[in-house]
Amino acid sequence: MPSLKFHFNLYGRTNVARRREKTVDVSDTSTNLKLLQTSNTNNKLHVFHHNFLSSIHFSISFIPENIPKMKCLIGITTLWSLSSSQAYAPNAARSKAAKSLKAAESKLSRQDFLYAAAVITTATSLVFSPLEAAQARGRATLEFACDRYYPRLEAGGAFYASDLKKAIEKNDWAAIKVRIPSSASLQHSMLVYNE
Amino acid sequence: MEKFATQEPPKRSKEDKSKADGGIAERAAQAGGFSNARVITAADLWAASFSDNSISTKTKQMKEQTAILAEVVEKINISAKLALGEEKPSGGFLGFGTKAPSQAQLAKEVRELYIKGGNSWNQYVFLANDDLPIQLKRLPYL
Repeated sequence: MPSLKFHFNLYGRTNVARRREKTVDVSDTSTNLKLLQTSNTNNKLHVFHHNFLSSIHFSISFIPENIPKMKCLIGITTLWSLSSSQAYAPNAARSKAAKSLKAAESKLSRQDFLYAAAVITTATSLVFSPLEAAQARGRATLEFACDRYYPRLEAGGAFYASDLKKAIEKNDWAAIKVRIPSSASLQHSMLVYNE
Repeated sequence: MEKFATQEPPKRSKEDKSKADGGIAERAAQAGGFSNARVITAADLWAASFSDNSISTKTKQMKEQTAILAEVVEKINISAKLALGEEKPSGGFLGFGTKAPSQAQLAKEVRELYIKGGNSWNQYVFLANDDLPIQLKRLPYL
């Protein structure tokens, strides 16, 4: 089973390299296209890929929790992108990376490599993306907010134009008075309608 | 018509806490037809829906109008309370020297406030309807 060793850096917020080594095993044993088996336990990310050409076990043994997931993804994608990975590596690791990547090129065809890169990128995104729940904010909630508040606003406007106007015309003080007019009451009223 | 146009719902009581919904529906029903709780809070929240990560200009402009409306409602309320004798005019030195406004003065003030609030409401509606996605309903003007 051919084995490829890569050196790369995973950058966090502080731009400090956290990891510099990865092992990839490649073989041509499998004939079925099984997309991916992934696991992410104990800060270990394993990606197993089988297709009719190759079988790849991709493993990252340490993913610091304080590194944003998207940056991990970018780091991994960068790793598989031969041309750009060296640019990210510091001088000490650059020569090692270059040697390793040359070794990889000699054992893998360009097509296989690009295919594997696409698979790994997809796998990583599959692993990372479901972990965060989709939360709509702002304008994305516009339809929901419209359904919720439009009836109150429409009724309020109609009330202002008809009933309140009549009460003011008749000087019906009891009809137009407010019981608790303060900023505290506004907060209180927000609680009432949003509990 | 609700008994009081701008009345706020009562505070939660001990009895409310024993109810299934915490007395929310019952208290909400007591809110006035143009009270903070029923309308202005909704207007505020609707305005906030037009912002994403940062507060948009549209939201700011709409909230300016809701602030005016809240002020108008509060002043109308105070005038109504003064007219009903439930509140005494503030000011003067230690409460002395203040003159209670007449009913006519209060009526005139309330009419001016009503017009100010109406203009503010129409401006709010104009801002809310501006550039609104086509599938959403437009608010009617007064």
